[in-house]
Amino acid sequence: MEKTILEIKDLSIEYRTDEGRAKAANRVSLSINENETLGLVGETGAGKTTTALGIMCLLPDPPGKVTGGEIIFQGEDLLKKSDEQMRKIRGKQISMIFQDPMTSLNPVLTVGEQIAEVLYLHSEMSRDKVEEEAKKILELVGISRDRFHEFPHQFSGGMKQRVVIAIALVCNPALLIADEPTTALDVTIQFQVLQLINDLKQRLRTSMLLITHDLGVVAEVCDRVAIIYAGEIVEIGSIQEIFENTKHPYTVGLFNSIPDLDEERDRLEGIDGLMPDPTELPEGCKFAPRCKHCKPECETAQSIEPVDIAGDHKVRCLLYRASGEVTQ
Amino acid sequence: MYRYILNRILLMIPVLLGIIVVISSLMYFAPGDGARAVLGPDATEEAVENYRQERGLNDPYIVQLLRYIGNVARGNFGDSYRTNAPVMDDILARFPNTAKLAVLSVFFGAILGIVLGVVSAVKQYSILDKIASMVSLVGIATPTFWLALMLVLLFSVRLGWLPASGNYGWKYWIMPVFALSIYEASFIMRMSRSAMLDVLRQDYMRTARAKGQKEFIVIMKHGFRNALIPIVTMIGLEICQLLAGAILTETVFAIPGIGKYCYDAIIARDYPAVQGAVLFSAILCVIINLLMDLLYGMIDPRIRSMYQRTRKARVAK
Amino acid sequence: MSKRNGKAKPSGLLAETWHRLKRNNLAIISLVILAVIIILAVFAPVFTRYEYAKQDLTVLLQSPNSEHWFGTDNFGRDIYTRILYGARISLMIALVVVIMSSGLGCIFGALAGYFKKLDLVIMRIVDVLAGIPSLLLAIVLAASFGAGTRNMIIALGISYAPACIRIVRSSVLGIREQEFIEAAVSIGADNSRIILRHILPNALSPIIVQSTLNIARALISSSTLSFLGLGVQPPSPEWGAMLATGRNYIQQYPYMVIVPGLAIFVTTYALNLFGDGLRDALDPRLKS
Repeated sequence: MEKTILEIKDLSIEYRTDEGRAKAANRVSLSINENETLGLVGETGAGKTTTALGIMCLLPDPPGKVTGGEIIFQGEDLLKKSDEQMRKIRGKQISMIFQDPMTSLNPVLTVGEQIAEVLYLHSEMSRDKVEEEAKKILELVGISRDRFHEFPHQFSGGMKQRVVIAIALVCNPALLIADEPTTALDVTIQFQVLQLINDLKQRLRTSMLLITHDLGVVAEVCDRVAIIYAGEIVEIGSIQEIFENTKHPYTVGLFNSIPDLDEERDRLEGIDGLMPDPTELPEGCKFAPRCKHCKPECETAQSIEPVDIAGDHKVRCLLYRASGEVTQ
Repeated sequence: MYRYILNRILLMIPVLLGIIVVISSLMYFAPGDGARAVLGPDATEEAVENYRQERGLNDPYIVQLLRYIGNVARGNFGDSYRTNAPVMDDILARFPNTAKLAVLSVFFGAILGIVLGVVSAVKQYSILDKIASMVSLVGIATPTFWLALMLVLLFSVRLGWLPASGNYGWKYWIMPVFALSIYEASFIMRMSRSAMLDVLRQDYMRTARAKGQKEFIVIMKHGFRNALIPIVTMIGLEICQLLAGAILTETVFAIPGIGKYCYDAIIARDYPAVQGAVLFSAILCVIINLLMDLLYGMIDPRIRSMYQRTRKARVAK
Repeated sequence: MSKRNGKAKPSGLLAETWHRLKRNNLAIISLVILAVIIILAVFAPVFTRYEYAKQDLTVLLQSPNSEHWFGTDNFGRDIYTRILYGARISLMIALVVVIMSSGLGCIFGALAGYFKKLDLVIMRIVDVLAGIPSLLLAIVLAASFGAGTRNMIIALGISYAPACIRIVRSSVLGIREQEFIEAAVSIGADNSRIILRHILPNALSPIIVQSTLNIARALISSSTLSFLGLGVQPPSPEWGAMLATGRNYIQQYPYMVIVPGLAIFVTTYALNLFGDGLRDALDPRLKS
């Protein structure tokens, strides 16, 4: 049995704005084991980045606030930690890489300085040693060590992202959170960067939470995957289970909307409707308004508990009872 | 780096020329006879005509313009109608006073303004922020010359603590500098706050926090360092504004600077003096902008390397 | 329109802006103050029984009293009345200056932003004009063509124009790159249509805010110039000119100096406050 490195239980996060309270995360529960990559898949606005920022305790406050739940990392609840304790963890035990490499780096500092910063923060190394380590990791991500003294604007988008990866991994964290790391890059570069992340992750034995909206990426890199909709995890399980034994109507819809190489079709099949406004979430199942299999009780149920399907495959849907039986 | 400097200087020249042309043209087309203004209404037609011949005032517009430009390039701004001495001498004698006023005011204003602005931005929405915003609004809404008069009213007339006008010691500078500093501090505070707010929103701030960096360092090293660029630019502009705007404060406090010189010259219809003073200030502004650009290049590596890259490219070949 | 809590949410730029503005208490207060000032200015004769230019040598230099709320000046004129009429002058001047400079800004800024060839020429001229501080330009004009309201307005209008042109140009450049412009071009819209119907409406926010703030600046500038004797000429009761006169009597009759300055201060303060509120309302993203 793999050791669980991160376990999130019933995490709820709200954003308080002038327009009202947006419930960005609603009782999110997931877990990641050592050496494992968990994919977090969902549409824009589903709550993926919010959850990630919540784990790092980097939510902008105001307006964001954690309203409940636990985040157990290596046995300790992160939400109960002080600012100073969290600072020691960030960058060293848990690292994060963000979506847009163009704006993630400080334009007035050299890339070397920015990598070195992490080392100075979390180690007692001498200046020379720090510089050496930083240059080493630059090479590890595929950038010549001579570029240590260059500035971010002198790098292309893909290279910038590599620098961001270097910064995240230089202290060998136990968990890496990657928030759509390749979305802002060209398709050809996307593949390279993904390979790089995967390589390094395996080499350094880092667990990863990979946030993405692209199921193709999930198939390439992840061991398990969680589907998030309107701030709730609606389905979670191993790649095998989710891809071949898809249960939740939303997940089914997601798979159906991807063009199939083997099949000939005139139109792509989409999912009607839009994700609900987080300030006005509907009662009952959040997906009910768009679901083909919607029943009256779907719209009124107070809370829908996850149901075990097979192994660790869980679904949050009234269609199912234990062991995958479809109720009708 | 030298390329950058050269580039900026070259760009500056047409602007300078343009300014000289605009100002001299305006003065040239001014109604009224310059010669008669100097010699007075009692002078004979002959005397006036001689005067005009001597000074080349009958030459066509272009010729006069070119001559003037040539003179300016050599530092000759013409002779004052009142003293018949070179305007340049008068200006140079007074320039240190204006410069002192401008630099001191911006200096104090900047220190107070930047500190308050940065703190307000970091603690946005706090009581401090709200109060600072209110106070800075008062600062920029108060007309400087009125503030100057109020200060004179209070400290000279009522209390008799400070001298009202003149330039005979450091005490005479307290009120003028104070009056100007209030506006400067307020303006700089608002601009700094705005620049800082822009920077605080940026993604790289979040990256820095994700590294586990202490908040204070994140704000200073990642935030403020980037906000410095627009702040420095703005300070340069303010110094320029003051060189011109000091005319008011100098007038109220009777400080013999370029502003007061200009004002007195206008009253006396001493056109060369007015032209010279205005031109001098304008040219100074252009030079200060140039210096700011250079400073910019030093602070912002993006601009610096724009010109270094060409050098490297050549070396690589 | 979307419904929330039973109340309809407003849509459309104007409506949304007003909605946000309404919630900003400071902005509303400043708007009220401005409205009061404008009403006082426009309907000045209603609020006072004196005439601003009428001299009455029997009541020279009186301190504020029940007959003359702000006292009288060195010619026996009622200061309160002069302040009211002064509001008319100051506001009108400021408005004309801003309409002129913003108008020039929109025209040349849009042209410069949209047509690359014009851009070069226009921006060089703008650079030259911007190199001359506004006060100095006004002074030169005053020295050349004589002091007076008309010249002052022209000078200020021209000297505020470069900043406006730059702002509009910058907005236009940004918007021009956006895809909906490409879409408009692809359906065959001609240049003038694109500029007028698509680009300008979206570029307006920064220039509106700047214009509001420029009204305040113009107010102070015109007061400054009038104070120096280069702007509005006596007996016009422009606030800056009143300060100049009052300066000579500062020792014994300080109210002559306090009152006009206060008027300038309150108006400028309200204008700036409103400008800030407007900026926040037009683009809430800029707030935090």
